[in-house]
Amino acid sequence: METLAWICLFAPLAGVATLTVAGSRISRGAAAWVGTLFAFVAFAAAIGELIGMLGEGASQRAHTYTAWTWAGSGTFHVPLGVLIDPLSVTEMLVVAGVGAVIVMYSIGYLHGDVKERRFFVYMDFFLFSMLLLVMADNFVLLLAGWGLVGLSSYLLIGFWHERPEPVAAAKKAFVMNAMGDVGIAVAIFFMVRDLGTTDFGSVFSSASQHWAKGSPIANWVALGLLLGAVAKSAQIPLHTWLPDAMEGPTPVSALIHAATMVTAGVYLVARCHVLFVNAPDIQALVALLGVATLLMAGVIALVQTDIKRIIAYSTMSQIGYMFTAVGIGAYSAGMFHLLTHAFFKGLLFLGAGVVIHALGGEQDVRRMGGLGAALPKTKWFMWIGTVALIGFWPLSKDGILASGLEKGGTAATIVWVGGLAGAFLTGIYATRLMRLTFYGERSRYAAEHLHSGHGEGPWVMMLPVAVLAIGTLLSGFLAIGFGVNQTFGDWLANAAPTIEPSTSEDVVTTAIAWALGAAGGVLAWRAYAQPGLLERLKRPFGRTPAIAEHKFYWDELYDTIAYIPAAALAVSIYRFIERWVVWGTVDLVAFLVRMLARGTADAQTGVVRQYATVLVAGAAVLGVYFLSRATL
Amino acid sequence: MTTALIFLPLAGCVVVGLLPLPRRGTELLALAVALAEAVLGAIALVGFDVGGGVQFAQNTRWISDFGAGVPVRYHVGMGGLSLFMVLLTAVGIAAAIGAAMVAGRERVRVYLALMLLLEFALVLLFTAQELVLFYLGWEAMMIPLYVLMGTWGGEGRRRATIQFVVYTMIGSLLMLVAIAVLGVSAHTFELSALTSHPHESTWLFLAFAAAFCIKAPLFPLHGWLPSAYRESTIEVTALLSGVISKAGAYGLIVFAVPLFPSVAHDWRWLFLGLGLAGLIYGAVVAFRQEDARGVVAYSSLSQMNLIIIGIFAFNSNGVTGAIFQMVNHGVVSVAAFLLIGLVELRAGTDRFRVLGGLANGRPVLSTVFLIAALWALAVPGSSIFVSELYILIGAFQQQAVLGGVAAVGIVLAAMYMLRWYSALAHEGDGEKVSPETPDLRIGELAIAVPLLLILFALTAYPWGVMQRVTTSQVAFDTPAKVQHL
Repeated sequence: METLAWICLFAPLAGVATLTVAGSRISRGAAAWVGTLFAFVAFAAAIGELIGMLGEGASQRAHTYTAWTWAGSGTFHVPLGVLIDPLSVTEMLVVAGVGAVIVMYSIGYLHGDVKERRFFVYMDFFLFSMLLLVMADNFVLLLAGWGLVGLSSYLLIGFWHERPEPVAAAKKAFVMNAMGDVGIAVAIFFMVRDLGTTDFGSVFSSASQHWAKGSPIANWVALGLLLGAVAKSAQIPLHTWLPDAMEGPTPVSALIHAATMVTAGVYLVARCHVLFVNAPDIQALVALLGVATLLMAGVIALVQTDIKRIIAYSTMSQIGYMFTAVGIGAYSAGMFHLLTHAFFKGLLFLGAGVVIHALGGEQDVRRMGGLGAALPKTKWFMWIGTVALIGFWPLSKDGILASGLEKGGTAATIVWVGGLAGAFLTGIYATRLMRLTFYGERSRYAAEHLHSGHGEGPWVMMLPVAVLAIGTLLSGFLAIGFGVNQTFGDWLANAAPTIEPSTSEDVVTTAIAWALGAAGGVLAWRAYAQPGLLERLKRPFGRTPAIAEHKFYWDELYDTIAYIPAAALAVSIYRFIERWVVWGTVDLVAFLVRMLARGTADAQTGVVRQYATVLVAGAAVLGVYFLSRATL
Repeated sequence: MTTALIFLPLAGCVVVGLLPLPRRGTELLALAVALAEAVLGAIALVGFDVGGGVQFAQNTRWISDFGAGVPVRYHVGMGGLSLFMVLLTAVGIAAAIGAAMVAGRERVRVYLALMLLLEFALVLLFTAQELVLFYLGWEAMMIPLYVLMGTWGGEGRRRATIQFVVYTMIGSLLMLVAIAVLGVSAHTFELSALTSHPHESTWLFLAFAAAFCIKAPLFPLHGWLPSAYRESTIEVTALLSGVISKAGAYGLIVFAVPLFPSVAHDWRWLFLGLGLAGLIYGAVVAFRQEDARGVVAYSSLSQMNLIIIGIFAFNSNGVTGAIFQMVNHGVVSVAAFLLIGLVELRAGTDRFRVLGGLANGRPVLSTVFLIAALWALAVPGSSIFVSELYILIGAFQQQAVLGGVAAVGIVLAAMYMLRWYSALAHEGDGEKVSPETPDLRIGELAIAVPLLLILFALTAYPWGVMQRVTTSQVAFDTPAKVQHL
C-alpha cells in the first residue's frame, strides 16, 4: 500500500506542476478538468488505502513509510515519512473525497473567470498541503503541512486581489495562523530537546516517561499544540480571521473554511491525545474554549446578514463542539462530527454558492427571500444540510454530548449544558437562514437579479451538491453500525479512543437536543413569518444584539492592544533608535577617521574615482610585493 | 580544482576587461565565465565526498619568510561549508551578470570585469585554509566593491560607499592585527595548525569577531547597511545581501569560533543577545519601510542576526541550521533584490506609494514574486523553514526563553513579507504602473527561474546540503566539548 500512499499525497502536487508548466497553453476549461482529475486520483488512492486496511486485523492497521531523510543535523533527523492508520485514512478520505467533489463544483462556479487556471492550481496545492498535514508521521512535516494549508488559504482568500478587502482578509488569516505555527514550533522545541525526535511513535511512547503528568513542560507542550489548533480551527481567542475569510470564492469557503482545513485542530488534538492526556488542565481548557466558542459563534450567527458569514459562524460553532469532544476525551466522537460536518457544511456552502451564483454575486440574505420556487433542488438539498446541522441526523453532535454526560466532572458537565444550549441556538440560526433565503416574499433585488431561464446551475455544480447530500444522509449509519461491519468508534479505537455513553445517556441527551433544536427552529420560523414578533422577541435583550452584530468587539480589541501599539513602536524605533543611534555610530566612525587623517587632509579630494585609482594602485603594489617574495 | 575555481574568474576579469569587444560580446563573455564557474562548482559538488573533511586541497609553499620568520603557504581547499559558499558565489555572480545585461549598465566592460574580480576574491576567501590568504581575499573583495558602489548607483552613492568602506575597514584592520599576532606567536598561519592549539586571548577573538560582525552585520553594527543597499545598483545590493554578508558569518564559523573556542563560548551571550535584538529589530523596522529595497534590506539584517544566533547556540542543530540558512538566504535574497530591480526597470522606482497592481494581468511576474516572497518569509515546508527551525531548536537547547522569543520572528517575517508582496502586486494599479507595464520577458525569466529551481531543489532535499556540512563543525558539537578543547 506504500505506493498508493505516495500517489495520494503527491497526485495533487503533480496537478499543480502540470497546470503551472502548461500555463496558458491549455484552455481554461481544460485546466479546470485537469485540476479536478488530479484531485480524484488522490481520492481513488485514499479509497485504495481504506480497502487495504479493512482487510487487515485491527492491531495491524498502522504503517509508516519513509521516502528519504528530509533534513538533519548531527543529532536530530526528520524523515519524509507518512503514517497510514485509521485516523489518517479517515482524514485522507474526507480531504481527498470532499475535496475532489468541491474542486469539480468549482468548474462551474469559476467558469469564465480570467484567473480560472490559477484557481485550480491553488486548489490542488491546498489538497497536497492538507494531505501532507494529515499523513505526516512526525511533527516537523505536520507543521510543514500546517503552514502550507495556511498559505493555500491565504492565496485563495485573496484570490480576487484587485479589491482591498480580500487582500486584508488574506493577510489577517495568514498572520493569525502564523501565531499558531509558533505554538506548534515551541512544542517541537521541547520534543527535540528532551526526546531527541519528533516522530509520532517515539514521541507518544516516551512523552509520559520524560514529562510527568501535569508537569510544567507537559503543559507547555500541550499548550503550544493547542495554540496551533485554536488558530487553525478559529476558536477563541484566535477566531477573528474566519468570518473575514469569506471574501474568498465560495468553493474555497466550502472546502477550506468548512470541510477540511479549519477542522485540522480537532485532528491535531485527536492525533496527539497522549500529550493532552498527559496535561489534564490543558485538555480541560480545550473543552472549555470549545464551549465558549460554540456559544459565542452561535449567538453571532443569529444576527449576521451575509449568507456566507452565517454559515462561517455556524462552522466556528460546530468546530467548538468538536473541540469539546476531544477536550473531554471523546476523540472518535469528535472525529465523527468532523466527518459528518465535512459533508453537511460543504453541502450548505455549495448550496449557498448556487444561490449567490444565481443572484449574480449577492450575499446579503435581506436581498433574497422567496427563492425556493426558482431554486427548488437547491432548497431541498440545503434542507438536508440544515437538518443535519441542527442535529436530527446523523447524530454526531449528540454523541459528543452524551459522552460528556458519561464522563462527568466539571468540564464535561459544562460541555453537556453548553452544548445543549448551543443546540437551541443552532436551531434558530439554521432555520432563519433557510427562511430568509428561500421563503417569504421575494425581495425586489432578487426579483430583478435572479437569472431566469438557465436553471439552478450546470450539472458540474449540482452533482457535487447531490453527492454531499447523499454523504450526509449515509454517514449517520457509520455511527450506529447499521449496514457496516464495524461502527466508526471501533474503527478508530486504536488510533483515537473514545468514551462509550450508555444507551440511556444517549437517548436522554438526544431527546433534549432534538427538542431544543426543534424549538429553536419553530421559534425562528414563526418570528420571521409574523411581522412584529421578531421585535417583541428582541426587546428583552436590550443592546445584546448590537454587541453580537459587532462580533463581541474582538477586532477592535486586537487593534487597540496589539496592532496600533506595535505599529507605533515600529515607527518610533525607526525614527529614534535607527536614525539617531545606529546611523550615529556611522557618523562617529567617520568623524574619528577624519580626526586621525587630518595630517593627510590634502589627499582628501573627495572624488571617488581618485580614491579608486589609489586603491587599485596600492593593491597592485601589494600584489607585486607578494609575488616577488613567492618561492613557488 | 579549488585553484581552478579561484583563478577562473580572475582570468575572466582580465580578458573581459582588456578585450575590446562590443557590448553584447563583452556581456556574453562575462556570462560564459560566470556560468563556467558555476559548472565547475557543480562538478566539485558531485565529486564531493560526504564526511571527507577538507577536499580538493592544494598546499604549496608560497613565501618562506613573511616576516619574523613565519612562512606563508598557498593552502586552499573546500569542506562542505566552503563548497556551498563557493556555489552560492558562483550562482549569485552569474545571476548578477545576467541582471546587469537586462539592465544595460554603462561602461559595461569595467562593470563586468569588476564583478568577476569580486568573484575571485570571494572564492579565495571562502576556500583559503591559511590566514594570510584568507585576509588577502577579504581585502581584495573590498576593491571591486568600492568601485562598483562608488561609480554606479543612485544619487547618494558616494556617501554610502565611504560609510561602507570606512566602517568595514575598521573591522578589517583589527583582524589584520589579530592575524599578525596570532601568526607570529604560533609561528604559522595554517588554519588547521592554529585550531588544533586554540588560543585563549579575549582581545584577539573580539578583533576577529568585530570584522565579521560588521560585515554580517550584527545589530547594532549595521549603520552602513541601509544606504549601501539603497544606493548601489541592484546587482551589487543583491550580492551584498546574498553573498558578501555570508562572508561575515563564514568567518565566524570557520575562524573566530574554532580559533578561540572557549573564549567564544564564554562570550556567547553577547552575540546571542545582540542577535536576538537584531532579529526582532530588523523585522520590526522592515515592517514600516516605504520602499521595496528597504523591506528586504532590513529583513536581511533580521535573517543575518538569526544566523548569528544559530552559530552561538553552540550545538549541532544551531550551527547546521545557520549554515543551511546561509545558503537559503543567499539564494532568496539575490532573487528578491534582482526582482526588485525588474520592478525598478519598469516603474523607475521602488516606492510602495506609487506601485501596486503588478499582479493584474501579469501572471508570470506575480507568480515569481510570490514564490520569492514565500521563501523569504520561511513558509513552513520551504528550505528556509527547515534552516530556521534548526536554528531555533539550537537556540532553544541553549536557552528555552531565547528560542521561544526568537520564534516570534516567524510571525514578524510573515507580516513584513506579505506587506511587501501586497504593496507591489495587489489591488489597483499604482501611479507608476499602467496596463502597458509588461510581464516578465524571456531574458528576465532566465535569471529568475534558475534561482527558483535551486530553492525548490533545496526544499525537496535539505539533507543534501545538511549532511555535507555537519562534519565541518567540530568546535560546535557540544558546549562541554568546547570547554575541554
